Amino acid sequence: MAITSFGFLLMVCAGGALYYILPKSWQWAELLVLSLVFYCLSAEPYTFIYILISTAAAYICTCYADSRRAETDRGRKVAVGLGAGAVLLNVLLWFVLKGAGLWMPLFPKMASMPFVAALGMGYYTLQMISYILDCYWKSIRPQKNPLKLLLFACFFPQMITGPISRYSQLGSLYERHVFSYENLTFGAQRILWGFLKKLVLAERVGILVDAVWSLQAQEPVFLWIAFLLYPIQMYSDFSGCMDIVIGTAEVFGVRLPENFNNPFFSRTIQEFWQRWHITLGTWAKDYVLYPLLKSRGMVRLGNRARKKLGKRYGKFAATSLGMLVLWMVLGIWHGGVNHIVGVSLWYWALLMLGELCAPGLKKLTAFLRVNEDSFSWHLFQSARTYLIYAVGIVFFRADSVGRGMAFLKDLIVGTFTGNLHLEKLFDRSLLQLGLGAADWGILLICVLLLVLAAVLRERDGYARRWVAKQILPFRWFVWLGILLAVVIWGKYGDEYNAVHFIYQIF
Amino acid sequence: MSKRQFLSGVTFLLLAAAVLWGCSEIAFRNLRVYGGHEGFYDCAPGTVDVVFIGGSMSYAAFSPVELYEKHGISSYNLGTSNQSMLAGYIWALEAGEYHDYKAVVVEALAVSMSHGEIASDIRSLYSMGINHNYLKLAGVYKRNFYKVLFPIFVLHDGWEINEITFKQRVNEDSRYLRGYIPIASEAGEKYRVPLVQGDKSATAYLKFPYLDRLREYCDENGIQLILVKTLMASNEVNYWDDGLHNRLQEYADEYGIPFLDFNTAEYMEAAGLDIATDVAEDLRHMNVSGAGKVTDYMGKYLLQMDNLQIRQFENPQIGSDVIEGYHRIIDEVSSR
Repeated sequence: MAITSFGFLLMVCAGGALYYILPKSWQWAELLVLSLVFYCLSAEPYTFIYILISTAAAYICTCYADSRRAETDRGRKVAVGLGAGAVLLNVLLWFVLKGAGLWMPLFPKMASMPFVAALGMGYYTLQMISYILDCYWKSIRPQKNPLKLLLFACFFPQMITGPISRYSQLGSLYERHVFSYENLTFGAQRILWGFLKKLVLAERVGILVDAVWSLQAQEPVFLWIAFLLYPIQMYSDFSGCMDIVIGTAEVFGVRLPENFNNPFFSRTIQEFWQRWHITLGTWAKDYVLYPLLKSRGMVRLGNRARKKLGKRYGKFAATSLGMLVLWMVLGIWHGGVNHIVGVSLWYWALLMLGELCAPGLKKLTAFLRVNEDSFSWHLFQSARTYLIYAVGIVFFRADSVGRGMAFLKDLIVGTFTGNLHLEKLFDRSLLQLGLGAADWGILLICVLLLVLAAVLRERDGYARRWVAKQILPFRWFVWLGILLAVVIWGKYGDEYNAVHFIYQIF
Repeated sequence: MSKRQFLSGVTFLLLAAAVLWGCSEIAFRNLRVYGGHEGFYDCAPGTVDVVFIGGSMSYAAFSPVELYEKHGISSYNLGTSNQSMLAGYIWALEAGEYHDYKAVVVEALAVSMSHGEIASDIRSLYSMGINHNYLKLAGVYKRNFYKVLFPIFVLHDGWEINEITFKQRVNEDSRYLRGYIPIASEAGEKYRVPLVQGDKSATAYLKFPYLDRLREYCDENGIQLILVKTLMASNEVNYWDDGLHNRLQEYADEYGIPFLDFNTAEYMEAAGLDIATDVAEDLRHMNVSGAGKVTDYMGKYLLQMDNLQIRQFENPQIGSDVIEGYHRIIDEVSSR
């Protein structure tokens, strides 16, 4: 069941109505039933067993660690062993089923074997690992009800593309909720906004990008279009999905963590990763980077580096090694060699370079008397960050590192050998890329709307809160307009192949 | 939730429904596919004796004005592009509420498509308005019932509000054509291979659920059901063949339904049809000449059926002005 389908909306409406009619102590149980129904309608039902295994492992080890038996020396060792085993089991299950792209090339004979991963495996695996570690670090108390823990693993809105929630963030999952008009309307509005991003904008841009990538002889000007628009497709697809997911949870009174915070307004690539896929970034920091940097080996290494390279560069060396591991983990999680080599190394190198050059650049801007608070400087920095990000995700889009390199080579060589042919932007050549003139207009309007919403968010928090402050006819005009735009211009329904979200594959 | 919030929410939902319905009306009233249903509702009740249903092969082959002019039979062609048997059946029910018609002629290609895509079924039926017959679609497309209620949801199948959709405008001359749409081009010599070769062993494993329903409806109301396959030319995509012919013949024999397949030598000769001159360039539809011959044959066929009580030359709506308008349009189309 696609979360952009009418069936999903119907399920949310019926489930939502029942949710507030049922006794409040049953609400979490209804969410669990809805999650199971959603799972069975969206994936191979038998693959749910992997979620059950992960949950059972997490439940057993955390409950043991919290019990009196774990208070003895032997008990502590058993608890640590059980915890490590549970984490390893989760990682192993993920690696065999979801990370098959990493090891399958080494065992080509196994390519024909039907490895079917569970829905949302990349996301719930990280959630369960964080749950186990948080319990061991005593940040949270273990959940004593296994069914409630199962709900944490398979809460239906986040099974498609996350966000990767922490147990401590999902307290509202088990709370007793009274019906709130604000939750309902804000949730519905956010779902609608997500539909607009995904069905109207992302799908349209997707047609363009796919058309350019599938062309044999590529015009440099078309390559530029695909290069510059692919980040917009990624953003509107992923964040559109997040809007639907978070809006759906909001209807049930559950607050999910935000995954995006206007990433294209970022001044640096460091800031970008604090605003893009936030839950994955913070997860990787909290459960990979910081434990690694605090580990005995890394502390020793850092000390040696400080002695040899001095305080600043010694610290930098240790951090950059930790960051390299972090980016490798992220690359592995994304499951492809091209992602590890092309995307992870690129961003890691850029981040480290930024870190290294930051003091020098600061001095330079001061010397040039650049007003760092000016709009134009912010715009320049955001554009630079956008381009850096765009280069990296070329490898995300490409089937292989070679294809990604070839794309960038064609782009650069075509531009600097006088073959750019900018006149193709105006002689209707663009209409060869699968979109008509009207579609280009719709695309432009949607991008402007996206920018407007982002500006309102920077200024007032959520854009919908700004809309909520306006007079009623204006509010209704906005939401009815978006509804109509989705219905008329959206790409959905039986006549098309099921529309998947880009991040759904993880 | 306060009373005010409840009222506000309900009002917004009603407004949204009204907007979606309004958009459906605007879009579908103006962008409807080929077919001349508007004129059907202008016919005085009880004045149509024969209705034709089916896809584009139907509206290109049966000319009600020709049928009236030559044989005095009042008829209406309710064919629409890609009309499935489901849509045809619903049109037959709708027609039965306005006219005590005596015979329904089904273009047989629609029979092989029990129901089509929801978009084409909605397009085929929307001009009847959202009435109890139209809503039968919601019973069939249960998961997509909202599309039946608000057809604007299927318009996105051409998010696509494009040139082609606009070109498929309802025919403004439906008053004169009564659902018939003339095509002028010719197939030419090279496609002169009959589709039905007489291979008795070929068969198609098809069931006809909506033809069954139509047959039952006709039995209950004393209506003569007639199956007709219009002439087509052989090309790389053969829509009709011995298998389909044999299967339908088997069905027709089982229930005693007349089945006239103009792709067989017997009916082709009887109607005087020639693929080269009577089939359109697209090799699927009858052209003006072919439609004239098929309609003429159908007129004779209907009049020689003893059980049909057809009222010849009694329909006041097909007056000389309609016939004059009809010939003007045919002349215009033929001269293109």
